[in-house]
Amino acid sequence: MALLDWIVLISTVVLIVGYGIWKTRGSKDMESYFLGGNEAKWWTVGLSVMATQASAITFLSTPGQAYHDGMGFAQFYLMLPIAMIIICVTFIPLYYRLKVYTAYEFLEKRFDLKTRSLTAALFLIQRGIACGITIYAPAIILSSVMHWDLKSTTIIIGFISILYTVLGGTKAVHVTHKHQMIVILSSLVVIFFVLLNYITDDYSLSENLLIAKASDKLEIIDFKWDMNERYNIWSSIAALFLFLSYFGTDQSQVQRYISGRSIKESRLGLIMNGIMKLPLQFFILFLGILVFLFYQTHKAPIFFNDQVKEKLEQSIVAEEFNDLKSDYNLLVETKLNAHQNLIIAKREDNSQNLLKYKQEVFTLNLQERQFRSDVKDLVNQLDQGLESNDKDYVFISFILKHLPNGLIGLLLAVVFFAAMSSTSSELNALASTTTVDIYKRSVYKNGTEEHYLKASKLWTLFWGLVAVSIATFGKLLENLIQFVNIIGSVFYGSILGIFLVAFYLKKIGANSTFFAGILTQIAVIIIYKMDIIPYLWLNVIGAFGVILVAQGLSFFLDRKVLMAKR
Amino acid sequence: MDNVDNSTTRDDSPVFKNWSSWYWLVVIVNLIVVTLIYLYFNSL
Repeated sequence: MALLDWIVLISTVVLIVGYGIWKTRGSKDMESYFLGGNEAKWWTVGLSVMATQASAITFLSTPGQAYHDGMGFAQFYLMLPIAMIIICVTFIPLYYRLKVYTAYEFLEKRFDLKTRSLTAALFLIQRGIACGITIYAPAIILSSVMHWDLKSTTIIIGFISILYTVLGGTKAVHVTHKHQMIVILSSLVVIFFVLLNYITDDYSLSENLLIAKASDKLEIIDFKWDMNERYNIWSSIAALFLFLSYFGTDQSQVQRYISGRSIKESRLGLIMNGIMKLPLQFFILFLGILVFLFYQTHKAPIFFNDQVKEKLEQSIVAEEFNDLKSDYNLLVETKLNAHQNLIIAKREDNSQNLLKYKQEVFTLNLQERQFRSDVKDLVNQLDQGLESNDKDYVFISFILKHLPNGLIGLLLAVVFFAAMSSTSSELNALASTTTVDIYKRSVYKNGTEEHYLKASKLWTLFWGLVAVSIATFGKLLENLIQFVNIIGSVFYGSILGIFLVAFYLKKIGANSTFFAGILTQIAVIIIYKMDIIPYLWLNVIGAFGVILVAQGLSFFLDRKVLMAKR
Repeated sequence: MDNVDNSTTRDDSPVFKNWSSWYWLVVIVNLIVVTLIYLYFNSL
């Protein structure tokens, strides 16, 4: 990396983090530490909610997802706006009315202590693991492509996030989020124009998009009913449950909007997210399509993870790999000709040829997929422990090899900011849940404000160390973005179910809900292990499971309580 | 937490008279975005 990139990277990170720490120094009590003194305006709430959700994984993996599989992943977010509306109408007024610090505090007021503790514990387990992955995911990719030491990269990302979250609490998280998101969004716009400039040398944008369309990259809606397909219009219904649980009951998000200046500011913040998230996700996926189009004229590598590629070249399967590479190179040439013929047919308005070359490009694209799949098989054949999925390396590899100096440093700052913004929200939420729902409620009840403030900072530090440890010992899984969603889906359904019972089924009591939560969680883990259903549907099973089991149990358990009360 | 407001329809938003207009705005903006992109991509 050039000196200019280092200067841009380090100065951007130091400036924004330093300003965040300086601006938010001196929290006096737990309320100002965890709720930021309830000073956040709607755009701060909105940007903070978006920054929390958009981790480094989002920026690294999503364009790669579009590069390989097209824009179908956008369907995952189709129901997010509906989730925002439901939360504005149902969840926010309740949280404000009861003046809670955490989402789980509400459950004690509605049910009892054990239900609150169970839900808080489920959150701590899943978010603790996910926080480790939030740090690990970008660290492994950066260390691989930049040849940085993995442990040092993990520790640097973790340490900076811990530093400003411990020192400034929620206010520091908000202030840094705002500036981080501004840098992230403006950098994405810059890269969009750079890519546009790169790809429009020979063909216009619409001609380029015709190539993408013929290569089956622009299918945004899939109406086919197929339970095995991870992303289609039907799985977006399952994703609604994931979003309701994530935005409505996950403390890392709840804490962002209950720290708003008023209920109005909180709602407007979520409305901002509801309006901007889907277009933003389209935009990030579209960047992946532009990278795909760029590589059509710049000879895309057969495998984007250079480290693994080098291992293949020096291994016992090197000969097979080289054969694949030569065949692939021939295919690249054939594809270039097919693209040219397609565009000529379009310019001549020759519908017969247009159809013919669309079909040819489609077939060639299928062959290319087969080559990539064959390379994956070779990687697995060589060593099962090697990462055979190169989706996460597509975008970063393009950034490092084809962007001008200075912009590389800025884009690396974006990856760092995205990692830090999610990590800081998660640490902040893990600490507030541990302090408020466990420590203050069940361990040390009569402490002073000063004591709880100190405890809050220590718990933030504790969770930071846990996350860094998980990140240090982590192991790369199939696809990072999907793994985080899978972890969420295993736990989120049951948590959402408990909240839905609390909101809408007033007659169901604490014991029924508590045992329904435990039984359903066990069932969801078993179903996940059996691998019989796509992970998104686990949210639906978990939520409805708790509602149905609680309803069933309430005939016995709640009736007993009622009779005892009489 | 001082300015607690439990209403869902109060005239307190800076642009629209009630909250349901904001919610419709969210739905309509997203519907327009998805429909336009879908139609454009399919027209290629």
